[in-house]
Amino acid sequence: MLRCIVLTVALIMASPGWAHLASDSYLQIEIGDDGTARGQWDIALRDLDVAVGLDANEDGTITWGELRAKAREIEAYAFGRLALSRRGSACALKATNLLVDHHAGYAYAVLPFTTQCPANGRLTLRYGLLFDLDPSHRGLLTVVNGGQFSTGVLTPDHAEMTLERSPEQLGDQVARFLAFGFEHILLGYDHLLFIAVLLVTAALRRAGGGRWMAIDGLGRVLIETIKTLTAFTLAHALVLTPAVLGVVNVPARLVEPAVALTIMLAAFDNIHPILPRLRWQVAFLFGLIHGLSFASVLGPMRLPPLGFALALGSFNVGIEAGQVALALLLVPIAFALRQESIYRRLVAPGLSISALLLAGVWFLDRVFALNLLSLQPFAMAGGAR
Amino acid sequence: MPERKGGVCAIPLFVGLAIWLAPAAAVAHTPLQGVGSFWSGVAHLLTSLDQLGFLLGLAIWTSFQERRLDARVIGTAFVAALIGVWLGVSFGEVTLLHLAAAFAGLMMAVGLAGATRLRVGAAPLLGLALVGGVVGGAASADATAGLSVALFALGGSIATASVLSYGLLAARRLDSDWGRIARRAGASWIAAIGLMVLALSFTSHPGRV
Repeated sequence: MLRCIVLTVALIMASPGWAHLASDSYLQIEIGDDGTARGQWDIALRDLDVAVGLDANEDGTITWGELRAKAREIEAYAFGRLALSRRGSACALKATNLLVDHHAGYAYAVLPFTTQCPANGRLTLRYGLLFDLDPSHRGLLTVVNGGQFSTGVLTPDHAEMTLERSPEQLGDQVARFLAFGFEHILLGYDHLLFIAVLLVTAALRRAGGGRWMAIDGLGRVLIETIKTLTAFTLAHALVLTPAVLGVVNVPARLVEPAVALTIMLAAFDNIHPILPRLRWQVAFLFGLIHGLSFASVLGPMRLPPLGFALALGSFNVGIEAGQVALALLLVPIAFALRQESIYRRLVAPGLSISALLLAGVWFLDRVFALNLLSLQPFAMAGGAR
Repeated sequence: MPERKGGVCAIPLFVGLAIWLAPAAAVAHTPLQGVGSFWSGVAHLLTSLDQLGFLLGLAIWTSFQERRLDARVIGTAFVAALIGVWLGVSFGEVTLLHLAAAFAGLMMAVGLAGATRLRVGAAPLLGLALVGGVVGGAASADATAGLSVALFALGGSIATASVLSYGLLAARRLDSDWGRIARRAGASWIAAIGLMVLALSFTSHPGRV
């Protein structure tokens, strides 16, 4: 029966839903002393391709010509899902030139805009981009109001915000980015799979000949797990900061396959030892690579140093919390089954082979932009990356 | 006297829990789409108190059997939950009411078996784990709307295995005389709640699952 489990899990892991990329847009609004507002909205081309259909000739590449041809449709789609109002009166949003920018190697349509609002009163924003297609989409908002920075994470449940001049409460910002980091890791299936591969053997240790032996005592297993997860978080926190600041700039077309490669190596190591015995060392080493793939998240918000430090710190704590959630789910199972020889000889290696195969497909997919694994309706527009 | 007081308090507590657990058509949880299909599956199970009750009861009952059965029970429940979601999605006409009543019956069964410390062979234990997993999985299938069924099922199945593992880890540690009494008392509570949920599932009381 346990063979059936391994087979079932392998089949499920091969389902297309595992390749989901986090979908974020970056909205910046600057409010002048006279009450006028202007802004810029960066939306990933891969998202717009799903919503509007940019790749006219369906060759997997979005050209500037294809983008320009759809400029009106893009503006109509995007600005139909963003509303600014003051004292109950809607502000007219007027798009200016459509541009393209890259954030961590991904192409984004840049939509600068101006607004015409009544002169006085609170400005209220309502955001609804992509929520109908992908409820996990997030709008990352930066507001500069009379020199004061404030931030927001717009979700289907918190789609409306009042853009006030009063300084933002630090606690609110910390809570917001903590939740954002937590949600971000929950949807980062490649990162989760890497952690899962490490945790499958969390209650085992290598004995002579590379065989797996059960670790005695829940305490030892928990300490090893905490060390592994903390090393992973520490490593990607170390890399994330210089990556977001632009000191380290590795394109996504290198980072994303490298992430898949780390999963393959860790999974292969579960089958045949090739990496250091200490799992926390493996987690730290590969965490450096995983951190680079988070770099695209906060950088485009263009926050001031204090706001950036707070957002980054909270985001990292949120990511750690997400990893702990996965560990809380998997470690008791690994611990309960660790004494079973069938788990050590068949289930753990079988799950590792499944992860190895899946990561192998991801690797090929990401290197050659094959679109083999895409989650409907959010397909990766390979050429736009 | 304090015992009698506790007994009196327990009655409204039982009834309250039973009302809370009692089914109402289509009041299954809103899928947590913002956290994706996998975690929706996990969250669905962790917020389904009837399923948690059944799994806890199963863990208690299993803890009175031979230790070698632990892994088989966990594995069976895992696979059964996967199959259950698939069956629930494929045969959606099975009403929530019937599933809830069946689940309440299963809660009663594992609760009574644990309370009486019933020692049986592997087959009945694994059979109940199989049926419970399938029914629980099928009952959660309506929450898969708009989500990837495979990932939702995987999340629910891993959560099922995880809850059982936690239950077994905790129950196996309660090995003293008082620990055994506590386990049996806990199982009897689960049986009582199952009985009340079963009764309420045939009334029109608008509770929730």
